[in-house]
This record gives sequence, C-alpha cells and structure tokens, in this order.
Amino acid sequence: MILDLLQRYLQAVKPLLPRKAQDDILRELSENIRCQMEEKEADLGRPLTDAEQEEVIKQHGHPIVVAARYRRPQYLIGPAVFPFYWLTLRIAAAGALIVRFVVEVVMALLSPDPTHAILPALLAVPSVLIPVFFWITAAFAALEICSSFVSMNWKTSWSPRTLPVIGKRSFTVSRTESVAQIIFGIVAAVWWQAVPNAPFLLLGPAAIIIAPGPVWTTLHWPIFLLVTAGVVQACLNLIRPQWTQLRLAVQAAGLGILCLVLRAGNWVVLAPDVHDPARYIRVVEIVNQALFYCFLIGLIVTAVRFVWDCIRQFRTVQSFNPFFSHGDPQQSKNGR
Amino acid sequence: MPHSIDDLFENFRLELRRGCLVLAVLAQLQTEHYGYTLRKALSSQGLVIDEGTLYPLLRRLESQGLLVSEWREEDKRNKRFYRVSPEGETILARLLDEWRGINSSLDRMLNHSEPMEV
Repeated sequence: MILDLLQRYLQAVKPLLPRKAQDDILRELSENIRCQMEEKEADLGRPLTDAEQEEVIKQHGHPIVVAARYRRPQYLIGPAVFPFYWLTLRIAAAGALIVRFVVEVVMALLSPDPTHAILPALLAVPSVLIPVFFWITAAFAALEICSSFVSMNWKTSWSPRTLPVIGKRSFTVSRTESVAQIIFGIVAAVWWQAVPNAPFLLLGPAAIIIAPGPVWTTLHWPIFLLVTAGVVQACLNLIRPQWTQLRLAVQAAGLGILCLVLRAGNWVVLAPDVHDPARYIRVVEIVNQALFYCFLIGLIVTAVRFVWDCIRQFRTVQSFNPFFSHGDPQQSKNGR
Repeated sequence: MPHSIDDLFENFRLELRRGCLVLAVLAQLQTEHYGYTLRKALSSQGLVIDEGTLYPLLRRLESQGLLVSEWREEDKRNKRFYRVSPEGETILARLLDEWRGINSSLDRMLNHSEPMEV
C-alpha cells in the first residue's frame, strides 16, 4: 500500500518538474517521505495504518503545488518592467478605443439608420482591446526575456530634468497658430464667397465638365460662418491664449458640418451645359469616390484632434501643483 | 479590496520569514545535513519550516552556488547531504552583519523610544 501510494504520488509530481532535475528531485522527495514515515513508526512502536501513511503523503501538498515550487518564478512580465507595461497598455488601449470610436461614429452617421450601428459598435470593443492587449503583452514579455541577457539601462537612464516642468501642463493656443489661423481664415472666407460665381476657383479646369453638388449651396453660409467664427476665435486667442474652450466649440461645429458634408454624397455633379454627358458620368463617379475618402480621412483626423484637445482641456482643469494645498494663499495668488 | 488584519499580518510575517529562512539554512548547514535532519534541526531550535519550502530553497541555494551537495549512503539508504560552500560562507558572513545591524537598530528604536507627546 505504502509503495503504491508513494509511487502514485511521485508519478503525479514527475511530469510537472523541471525536466533536467526530475529524477534527482523525486529521489530526494521519496527519501524524505520514507524518513518521515519511519520516524512516525518508531514513535508509535508499530507500522503505520493506511490512513496514517496517506496523511504523511498528503502533508507534502498537492502534486501541482509541490512541483511548482521547484520551478523558477513563473511570470511573463516581472515587477521591474510591469509599471512600464501597464502604462503603455493603458495608453495604447485608450488610443485604439478613441480611433475606433471615431470611425464607428462616422460609419453610424453615414448609415441610413444610425441607431442600428450602435450595437455593432459596442460589440466591436473587445475586438479592439484584445489585439492591443495581446501585442503589448507579447512585446513586453519579449522585453522581459531579453532583460535577462541584455542590460536594460533605459530603466535607470532617466533624469528628473527630463520630466515635465510644473505649470507647463496648461493647455493654451500658441500665438503662431492663432496668426496662421487668422491669415488663412480670411483668405478662405474671401475665396469661399467667390466660389458660387466662379466655380473654377473650386474645381479648376474640371469646371467645364463638373459642377459643385447641391450640398455646397445648402451649406454655403454655415461653412462661411464657421470660417468666420474660426477667425474671431483666433483673434481672441491671440489676446487670451488660455481661452481654449472657444477653439473646442469651433472644432465641434466643424465636425458637425463635416458630418453633414459626408452624408450628402454627391459632392460634384455633371456641369449643366456639358456635351455628351454619358462620356463623363464615370468621371463624376470617380471624383465623388475620391472625395468620399478625402472627407472620411479629414473627419477622422479632425475628430481625433478634437478628442485629444478635450483630454488636454480636462487635464488642465484637473492639474494641480503638489507643492501648494488648495487652500494655500500662495497658490491662489499664483493661480490668478 | 481591503485586507483583514489577519491577512495583512500573514503577508508581513511571510515577508519577514523569507529572508530569515535563507540565513537560518545557511547557518545550519555549516554542519552537513540531509534534508530531513536539517528540517528537524531547524525545528528543534524553534524555526519550523515545511518540506514544500525547504527542499526548493535548498535547490535554489545550490544552483546559486551557496550550497554543495552529494548523494551518499547512510543507514543502508541513499541520502542527499548538503553543506554550505565557500561562497555560501562569504554570503552568510555578510548577511549576518546585515542582520545584526538591522537587529540592533530595531532594538534601539524599540528600547529607547518614548511615548509621543500629544
């Protein structure tokens, strides 16, 4: 019985042990259990019962637990690398979700019934996060393995001087950006007002064949007002760079108009006085297809930038100076 | 999730014991032992350690070059005998210095600290 139980126990432990040391560990484990049993028998002055033998073996622990203790620490990413992994994972997951969210919103707006696009969008969340989790984890696991062979001096090569300066976290519009926006805004407003009477300003030589679609007539004044609002916002930001909410409002309005443009579809049509329309209808289709991708990419870029600016705005509101408490008069003075 | 006081105590106790066990095993193996007698020797001096902890620890210390071992017959049975290596002696001496330093610091703190005035 004792031999049978002990053999079964050792047999269960063996395949779970490191291959090179299997026999050696099993010999020692077997020897230890036998010693324990013999000592117990000597104490009792009689052979152990089956239950007592079983109890001695059981005290050593479950085979999986026993074998695991002989293995090296088993982790993919060790404690030294884990903080970098966790930060990277959070940033990558947030970035992937933002991009996917924008794409889903655009696709929902383009679909005939946007409410039907909500469920697939929600179901797409795992398909975004799982690959991000997999690849980031795989990359850091590889880094962890490499760190055993290669010196990872990037963990110690940082300096406090490279950390962000306190107070620089505030979100402001740069004066250069404001000046550029004013100049380009004025030029764009004048150009836009001239386009209805001179389509070649929009379409170039192709104005002989194609003409702007009806969407541009519908949205002419909203677009003009948006450009004008952008110029006004830039003028105000020139004086008050910290008034970033204004820019967010203009960006939001721009996003709305861009969505309306994207939904319209026929951005160019055949010019009314074109000869042989059948010959050029394919050209119109190709131009509209190209414009679709242009507007789609433009919308995604604008939306990502808008979300990013919102995050910066939020972080500015949330930012604090750790050297002063909220009630500190010095802080209040500096904050004014 | 908040931990109970007992859980916290158990975590701290294990952390405290982990380093001490290495020191105790190295110190005890200045005299040769096989696993079973080593465990009994430690236990008889008040340091109870279960097999699941002791045997993997012996292997780890041996793979780090701090112990040496050999299989030898004793009482008609093959047993693996361990003893501390020269590198292990060096490490043991340095660890003991560290241990005594920590111990005396704690003693000073605990014996000379006075009740805080409110």
